[in-house]
Amino acid sequence: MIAWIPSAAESAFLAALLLGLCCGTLGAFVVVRRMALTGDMLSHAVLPGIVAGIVWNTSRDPLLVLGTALLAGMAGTGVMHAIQRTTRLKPDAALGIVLSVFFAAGIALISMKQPSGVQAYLYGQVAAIDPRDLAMLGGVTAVVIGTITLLFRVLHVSSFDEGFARLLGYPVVWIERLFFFLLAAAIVVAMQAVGVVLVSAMLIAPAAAARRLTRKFGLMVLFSCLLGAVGALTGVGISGVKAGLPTGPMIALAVTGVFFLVTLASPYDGLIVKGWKHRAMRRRIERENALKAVFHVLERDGFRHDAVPVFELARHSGSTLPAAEKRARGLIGRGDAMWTGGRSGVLLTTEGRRRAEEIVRNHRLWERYLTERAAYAPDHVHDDAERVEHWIDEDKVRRLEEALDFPEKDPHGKAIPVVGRDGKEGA
Amino acid sequence: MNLEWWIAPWRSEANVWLVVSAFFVALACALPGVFLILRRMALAGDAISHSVLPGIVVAFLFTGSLDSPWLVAGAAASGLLAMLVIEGLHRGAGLREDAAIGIAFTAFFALGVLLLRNYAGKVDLDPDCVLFGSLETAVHGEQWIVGGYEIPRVAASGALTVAGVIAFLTLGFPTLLISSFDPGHARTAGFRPGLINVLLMALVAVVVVVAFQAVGAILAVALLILPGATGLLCAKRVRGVLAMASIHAAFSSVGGLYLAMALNCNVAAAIVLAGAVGFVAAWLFGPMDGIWRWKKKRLGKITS
Amino acid sequence: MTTPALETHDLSVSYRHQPVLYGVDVAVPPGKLVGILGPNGAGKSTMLKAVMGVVKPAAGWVKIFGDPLEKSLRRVGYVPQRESVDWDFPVTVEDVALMGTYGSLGWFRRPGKEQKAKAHAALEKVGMLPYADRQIGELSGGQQQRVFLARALAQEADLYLMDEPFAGVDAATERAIVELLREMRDRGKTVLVVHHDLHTAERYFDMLMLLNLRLVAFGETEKVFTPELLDKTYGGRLTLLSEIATRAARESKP
Repeated sequence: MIAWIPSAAESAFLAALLLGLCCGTLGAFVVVRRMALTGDMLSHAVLPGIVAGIVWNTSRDPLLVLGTALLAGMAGTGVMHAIQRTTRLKPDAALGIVLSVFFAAGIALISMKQPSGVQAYLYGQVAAIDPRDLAMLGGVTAVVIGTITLLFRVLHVSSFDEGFARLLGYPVVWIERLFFFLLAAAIVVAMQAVGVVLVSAMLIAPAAAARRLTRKFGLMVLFSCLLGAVGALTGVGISGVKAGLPTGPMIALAVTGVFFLVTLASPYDGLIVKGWKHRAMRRRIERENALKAVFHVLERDGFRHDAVPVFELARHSGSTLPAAEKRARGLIGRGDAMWTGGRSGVLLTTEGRRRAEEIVRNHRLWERYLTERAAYAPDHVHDDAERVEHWIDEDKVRRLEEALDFPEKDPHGKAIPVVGRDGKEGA
Repeated sequence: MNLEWWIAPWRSEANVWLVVSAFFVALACALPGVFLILRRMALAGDAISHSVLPGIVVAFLFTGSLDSPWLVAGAAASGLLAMLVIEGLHRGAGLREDAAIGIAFTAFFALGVLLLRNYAGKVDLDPDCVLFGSLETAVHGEQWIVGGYEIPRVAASGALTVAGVIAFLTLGFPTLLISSFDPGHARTAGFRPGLINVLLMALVAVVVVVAFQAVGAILAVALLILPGATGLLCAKRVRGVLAMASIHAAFSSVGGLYLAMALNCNVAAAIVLAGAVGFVAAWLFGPMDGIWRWKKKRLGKITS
Repeated sequence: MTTPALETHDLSVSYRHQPVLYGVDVAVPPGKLVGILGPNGAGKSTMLKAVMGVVKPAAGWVKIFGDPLEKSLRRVGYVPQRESVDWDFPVTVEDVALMGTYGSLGWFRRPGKEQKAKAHAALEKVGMLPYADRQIGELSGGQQQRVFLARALAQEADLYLMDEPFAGVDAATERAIVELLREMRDRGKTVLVVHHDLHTAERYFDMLMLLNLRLVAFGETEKVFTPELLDKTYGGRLTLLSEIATRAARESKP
């Protein structure tokens, strides 16, 4: 092995890296298995175990501390399940009880024995992590990532569908126990970096962020791992730059910050992208409504003319002249129509005409469908069709036409346009 | 541990105030906590006790005193902000509710700890009070003069909080009852379950501020949940649960003193541990679900 | 024409962008015993919840006795599904019945002698007065159902909504409840019952509402309880309707 003693700064960054990788990876499973609260309970329940381990063994052998912590964690989980099984108390109350009582036991022990080195677990002191703890952190990280990689398929299936996993012959109960141990171990080592309360942040935030980036679970685990590392390193970095800022909270805030960033900026469903898509959708609907209005005026005149005067447009839709002009300008701008008669009227382009026919066809087909197949009254279908007409794609149109046997009229007797015929619609 | 050991502590005025203050704080938390449990919102209590921290710290930094009423305002603002963030994450960003709560409260708590550790040196505040509470020092701290007597501020403010809690609960008891049991039905009866929720959360935020000074943020959760849980195992009706929870609060306070003496440990932790003993007693022997009763029933079945 | 006890127009309710109810138009005349039938997930419970204002409709409105929800909610009594009640809650039979009177109290008044009398009368009507002091978790299925019926009766409502009241109930209780419902109808009350059993549906109800995402039919039992209408109701979803409506709902809201 390399006999390399890292400096304090190097230790801190290395610890942050390992912490991020470990908790990020595990966190993906925690979030998917909905064990966030269990994680929170464990991080509080292990405290008496940690203190007992430190006190009992003055040389502070990290492995021993890990062992006693695990015992405390198991005891806490056992008590929680016992409460739920034997009383009318609900899971949230049982969890809260175990969390706070075990933590109190830990605090009591601390005040009684005044052990040194427990500060690290309470508040997180990644900056002052000693080589043995660093080694254990590295060990736990390796075990966690190694186990998850080896057993990925098994863990994946059992996290999403336990029944199916059983069917496949997976030892679901052992998998749960294994996962529990990994989680408890990760929590104990994470506590040394971020402190007892903030371990939850390390488990939840990177995974929640990863979830917004992809739906594929394998990728989600990978992203969660990386985002955890990025967040942790950022946290340590910032607190290093501005001396005096405690690293524990800084790391927690950094991973939360990463989560917010991803929520805003995710190309998949980030808020920015969503907002932009929403605006685009609104514009599309406006465009289609404008085209519809023009088409209706044309139809009302029996398609005798090709151009529609703007004032007719205003009158037909009951709007003001400036509003109708604005609409017309919009159509022109998008290439759906052209000015005629010195800007007094509009003429639809082929493109515009086509889309107008499609929308009106959709509207009337849908009305037909609702009245014929879903037993709606004819005077109750218009509003719904106004909403839905923008969302029927070609495939659905085919299916509607087939289901209705290629109807020619809507429930009000208006002709359903056949798209693409050159304006010579049958009445 | 002869009789003298049991009586001696009460000769010290400081100890008497300790128990009295602890009782007020515990009672103030126990009563709203009953409704938290009935509404399955025990963990909302946990979340609130963590989210109010930055508000408390900011208010403290501005006023320089742990006794200022601005602490409550700061806590309320912080708690409200946290709730808005959670709503925003849940509704706006489509995050699941428990994930939203987890992210929000850890972020707020981290912020609070950050502010505390960063500025604590500049003001006279021991950062450990978040985890350990500061009841022992508070009892010796600022005193109020009431009717010619000196009363520790922490006891007086505890008493005031209890009074406020009792007033709130008395006034709103039918409202709380019906909205906790069946919110849908409450709506048809003309109540507004959403608003009641918000008010309850606000009340919890206020008592958490008071509890924070006594037992610290994390142990406040115990004071909120343990009495109600114990009461639920003992009583058939909500009034009984509230009564039992109050008895539990008294037991924890007194028991906490003795436990702290016997173990020589932190008083806040001792109060919670004494409360745990009470809970276990109810768990084993309680009239509603007590294991002893359950075992008796089983034996009864065998013999009959 | 008399004001309908319940009227909805274009009522649509979605759960996570999936339409559960779609464009329901119905007018229920007062003084009728109405059964609501449909397959699982068809929106029957949702219909009741939308009427009570517990879920917000994505579209459409609800009127109760001609007034919007907020004004006339007090006239609506609700008997929930057994599975949605927390039976561990520390309340007794009497407490639950008493809660039915809270609507007339306002926020800060406490129930007094008058309210207690009404609660007791309601319990008497359903035969649960002897159990007044029992915690609700200690009751049998049929008894639990009757307690909630008493709550609705104590409210002195005019429109009663009941969600599968006969599920898991013994035959004697079922007969007793049907008797009671008929008596309420005779006194001019309107009762809507989400029902799960086709056989008894034909016997119990004056009118039937057939729901499957949308309203298939509503009217007198003899006219509506026909093989074709039942087939339309139970014979599978209109997939196109479901798909297109879902897409429209999901895409048009960010």
